Order: sequence, then C-alpha cells, then structure tokens
Amino acid sequence: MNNPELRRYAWLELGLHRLVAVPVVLGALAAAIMAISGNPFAALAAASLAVFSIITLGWGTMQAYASVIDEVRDRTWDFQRMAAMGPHALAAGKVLGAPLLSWYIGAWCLVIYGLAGWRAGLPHLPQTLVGVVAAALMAHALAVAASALAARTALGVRSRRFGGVLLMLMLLWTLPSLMSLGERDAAGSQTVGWWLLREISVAGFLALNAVMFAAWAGFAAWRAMARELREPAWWWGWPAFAAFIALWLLGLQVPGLPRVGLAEALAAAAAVLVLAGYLGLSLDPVTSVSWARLARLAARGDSPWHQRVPQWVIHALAALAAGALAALWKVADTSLTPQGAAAPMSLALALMMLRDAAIVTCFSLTTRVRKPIALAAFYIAVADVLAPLLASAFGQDALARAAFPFLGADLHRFYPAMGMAAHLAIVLAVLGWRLRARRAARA
Amino acid sequence: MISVNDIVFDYPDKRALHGVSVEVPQGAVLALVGPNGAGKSTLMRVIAGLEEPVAGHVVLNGISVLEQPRLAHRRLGYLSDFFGLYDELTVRQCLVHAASIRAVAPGELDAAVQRTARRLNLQARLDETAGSLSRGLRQRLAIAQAIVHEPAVLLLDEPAAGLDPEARGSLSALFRQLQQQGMTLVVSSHILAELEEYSSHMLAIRDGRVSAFTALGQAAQTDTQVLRIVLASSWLAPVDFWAGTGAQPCKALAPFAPDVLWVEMPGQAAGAARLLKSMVGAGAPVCEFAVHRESLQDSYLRTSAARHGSPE
Repeated sequence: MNNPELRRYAWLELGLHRLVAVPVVLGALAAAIMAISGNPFAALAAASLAVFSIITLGWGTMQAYASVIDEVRDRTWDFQRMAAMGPHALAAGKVLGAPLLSWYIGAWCLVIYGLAGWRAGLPHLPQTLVGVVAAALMAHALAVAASALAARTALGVRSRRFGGVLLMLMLLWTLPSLMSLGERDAAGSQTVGWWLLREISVAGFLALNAVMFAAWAGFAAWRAMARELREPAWWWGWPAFAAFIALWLLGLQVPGLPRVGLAEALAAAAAVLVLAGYLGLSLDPVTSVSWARLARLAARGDSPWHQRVPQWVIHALAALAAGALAALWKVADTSLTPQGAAAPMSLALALMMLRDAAIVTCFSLTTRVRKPIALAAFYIAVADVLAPLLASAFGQDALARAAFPFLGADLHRFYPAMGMAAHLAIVLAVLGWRLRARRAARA
Repeated sequence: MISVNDIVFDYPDKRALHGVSVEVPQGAVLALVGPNGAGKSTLMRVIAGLEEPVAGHVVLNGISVLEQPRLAHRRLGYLSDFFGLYDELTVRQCLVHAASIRAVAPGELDAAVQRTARRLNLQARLDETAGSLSRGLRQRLAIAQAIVHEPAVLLLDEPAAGLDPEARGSLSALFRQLQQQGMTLVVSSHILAELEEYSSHMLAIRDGRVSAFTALGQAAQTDTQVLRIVLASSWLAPVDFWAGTGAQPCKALAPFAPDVLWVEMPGQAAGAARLLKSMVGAGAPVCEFAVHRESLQDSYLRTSAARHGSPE
C-alpha cells in the first residue's frame, strides 16, 4: 500500500477478527431476511442498501468527521503535519482510510445488493450502485474537510460526535426524496434534461450528480489538507465551484418547471461565493500574522498576485461581480417574484459580506482581543438584529430599514444593495481611520 | 545549519518572541533554557514550521522552513513537550508509519525501524502496542519516531520528562551518538545538569528575548582560565598582589562564599602554578586550588544575574 495514512487506518480498522466476522454476520442476516420474506431478493436488496446507508454513509461520515479532530485531541496531528507527504496523499488517506471499516462492510452490502437486485429485476441497478458509492465518498470527503477546518476550534472539538451525527442526519434526510425520484422514474413517468443529455433518467442524473459533487468534495478535502500542511491551495477553487453551480442550474431542464435564467444562475454563483467568503473570513481573517505573510510574499516579487491577497477577498470581489452582473441583467425587471428578487439580493449579500469582512479586519488588526471574530460577530448581531428590532418597537421603521436594509417587502429592488453599500462605506472609513491611528501610534 | 533570523511571534493577546536570532552550527547540540513561559516551546514550533511568525525566517541547511515546509520536514525531527502516540498500533507499526510519512524509501523501512529500535532499546517491544507501554517507554518511542528518518536536525522539547535516571543516562548517550554522526540537536529542558552532558551551545531565553547565546566548554581554548581557590581561613591580599601576578578576581562570582576566591588567570597551567606559588608565598591559607569549568547552570545563572543585576 503506497499511501502511509491509508495503511495506518488498515492496521487500525481491518484486523483479522473483523475481516472474518463481517461477512459471517452479514451472511447470517441475509439468510434470515431471505427465510422470512415473501419476496426474498427484493427484500434482501432493500435491506443491504439500508445497511450500506446506515453503516457506510452514516457511521462512515461520523468516522471521517472525527478523523482530524481526534488527531488534534490526541496530539498526533502535529506529527502528521510534519510529514513529507503532500496534501493529496493525506487527503486521500483520510477520506478513504478513516471510514475504512464502514467501507469493508459497505462493499459486502453492495455485492449483496447487486446480486439480489439483479435477481429481483430492480431497474437502474448500475446507476444506483454508482450513485450510492459516489454519495458516500462525497459525504466522507466533506466530513474530512469539515473536520480539518473545525479541529482548531473549541466548538469543532466539542462537536466531534454531534457534528458527525448532524451531517449523517442531513444526508439521511435527503435520502427519501432522492429515492422517491428514483421510484417515479422507475414508473417511466419522468426524465430530466441537462445540457446535451436531453432525456436522462432521474436515477442516471442522480448518479451523475453524485459523481460530480463527490469530485468537488474531494477537492474540498484536498484544499483543507493543503491549508493544514501550509501548502498553497489553488485560489480558483471556490470561483470554479460557483461557476459550476451556475452552469449546472443553466443546463437543468425539469419537465413542468421553468428553466433557470442567466440572472438567477449568476445570483446562485454569487451566493456560493458569499458563502466561500464568510468561510474564508472565519478561517483566515486578516491578522498581524497573515498581514506579515502577505507583505513577505509581496516583497519577494516572484509570488503570483493571488498569493498576495487573502482568498476571501478574491471570493468577495468575485461575488460582487457576479451579483452586479445578475442585477444588471435584471435591472428592467420589476416583478415581485422570488426569482426576480434573487439578483439584487445577491448583490446586497456580496456587499454585506464585504462590510462584515471590514468589521472583522477592524477588530483583528487594530485590537489585541483574543477572539476578534467572536467580538465582531457580536457587534454585527447587535447592529443587524438588536438595533432594527428596537427601532421597530419604537415605530421608527425607516431607522430600522437603515440599520438592516433587508427589511421590507420590495426586496427585488436595489434598496438592500444601496443600504449595504452605505454600510460598507461607513465601515471602510472607520477601518481606515483606525489603521492610520495605529500607524501613527507605532511611529 | 540552523539559522533563525529576527523571529517575532504573536499570540492573539501577547507577543511571545521579540526578534529572536541565533545561528546554530552543524553538529552542535543547543541547550534551549529559560523559565516557564519564556518562549522556548514557541521558538521550537516556529523552527519546526508548525507556527508561522509575524516576522523573520528560519533556514535549515539552506531550506526556508516558511517557504518550503515539506522539503524542510524531510530533514527535521521534532518531539513536542506534549506528544501523542497512536496507542492501538504496535511499536513496529508506529515506526514504519513515521518512517513512511517522512519519505523513507519502502525498501529501507525495515532497516530504519530495526536501527532506530536498537538505538532506543526498543527491540524487545516491537510487537507491543504503544498504549500498553510505560511512560518512559512511550517517551522513547516518541523520540524513535522523531529520528527514524535520520533527520539532519532534531528538535526535542523536554525529551527527558518522565524518564527514570537510567533511561536519562542512555538518552544522553544517544544524543552524543547522534551528534557524533553530524546531527544538529536543539534540546529544551529544565534539568540543566542533564543538558550539560551533551550540549555544546546554550541559548537562554527570557520573556521572549535572547538573554544569552554562548558556546559551552570553550574556556580551555583561550589563554585565560577561571580558578576556584578555597581558603582555610580569611586572607587579605597585599596591596597590588593581584596586579603583580597578572590575575584578575571575578567580581560576578565573588559573593557566593567569603572564603572562596574566583580568579581569572592567563597562562594556562603555568600561570596557575605561578599564582599558587605567589599566594602561598604571600601567606594565603590555600586548601583547594582548581581550574573551574563553567557548567551550563553556572552559565545560565551568570547570564541571568547579569541581566537582572544580581546573582540568583
């Protein structure tokens, strides 16, 4: 085995006892189901898929989520961070290795499902097999990425079990709706179109999506490990994912539903980038250390431009551009439909993200508080929730809307964006004043 | 070999290192000493590339730890003060894993494991799980993991904590052996007598600043040596006695005991013999006369006293 991390998990998880016990127990369960069921192969297929979902998808996700958090808790993570392995090897080792026992059990389940499903004449068997494997890989990769990002926070460590359970419940919650789509498709009542694939079965489409999103999740795990190993991560990861989401929406054709327009697709891309911006801001706010790192890279001269700015700045500016384009596309549209509101809202959200980034930067660069993000979040909550609530309570609706421009019914118009632009200007002015004062104090 | 240049490190509410610089030559054993909270562990983590400083840089053998951490880690071993082990793995598996992730070639893994187990006296424990080992054996396994890939630089934060005297002795022997093989070691410990056995340099840190960086045991290389002279009773040196002999009483060491004289005397052995003869001739009741080699503890206390204006 070439991947040392995967081999370590194999040592830990796949003892001889387990290798033997798993097929014996599963075989006994299968025999029992076949003996008591009137439609034995269909029942066996359903049961094996259920066990795969619970063990590989559910428990495996919990194992993956605990992987890095456990290492930080057990003080072995620094040892891993000092490895000569690259982030790709570490990410692959964690994604495939942490849930290795659940995959061993799941592999037996899939074999049983394939054989029983074939004998029962279940439709879309290959698509289902590909789909569930890809879905499990996606969940594990996302869990590893989340684990790496959460490991250094007290909340992350506390949520070691809780976070995994939450992620598992979210995935299981989506399962019935996905299965119902498959059932409808089995009856031959529905197909979807996606770009050049004019009429693809729902099961095939779900499998294709599971594979595509699993690839993105793997990319997220790689980026999280690159961050832990202090390797430069590709700056275009989130913008590329946002573009993918926009293209995914643009290409989707569901019978009976209107197609998604360019403005809405751009708005969705902007929303993804806003999410990326907030995530990046919480993980890597501008501090004296990151400021020094950027200055060092800038002074070196040969570093590419994207290493000289925090990645959340790139995401925020890209969100602003996507939101502005979406809003321009919708500039003549005054309809009050939710779709009509999406474009100007995305612009307002991008501006809000920039405002919040400026507030966090103000606290992290110009104060020496231990948790600048928590303090900034407190003041943002006061400004966005408490202030408008008080203003409304005293009948000052205009003041409430000035404090939080998203209040009000006409969200499709540009009032929220203009309000957030004003907020941003004020916060930038304060930040500039604080930075000048800091520079003067140091001088 | 290890070049630490002007490192500034900030915790959110406190500056931990204020422009720390030091050059450690290849093959040296640097004793990193200082009180609790001085910044020793932080400096080690910065050198290991686990923490990013606000300013400054660390270069190991021409490789910048900040710019090329992966490459630097191939040449670096690190044992933190609070280390963890994979308790469910056997000692052999722990060592194979440590060697593999540090780019030891697959064909050399077994030899690396056997060699390291032999060095740390772990051969008999190779098939025991790490979780079943005693504290001292766990410490030895952690050190074995740090050196299994034959790093050029080894950083050890309190490596002897939890070890019994016998294990400490063998650890000292191991460090001397590693040094003889050309490895550069940085060792932090509160037990200065233990560091004394193998350290060639001392870096004292206090409040995140370098208070002293000295090469140890080099007094013999200079012409002047420090003599420790014990008198049986009080003796007042005649006027101009010291100037006449060329000796110079050490004021920094003088107050420790009234009947003990500390004197810097040029001329090596011949100078010492001349001084002894002059003192006996002048009626000094000399009962002990010895060349003093400054210990690490003396060195640390002297620099500490010089910094604070009084001996501790």
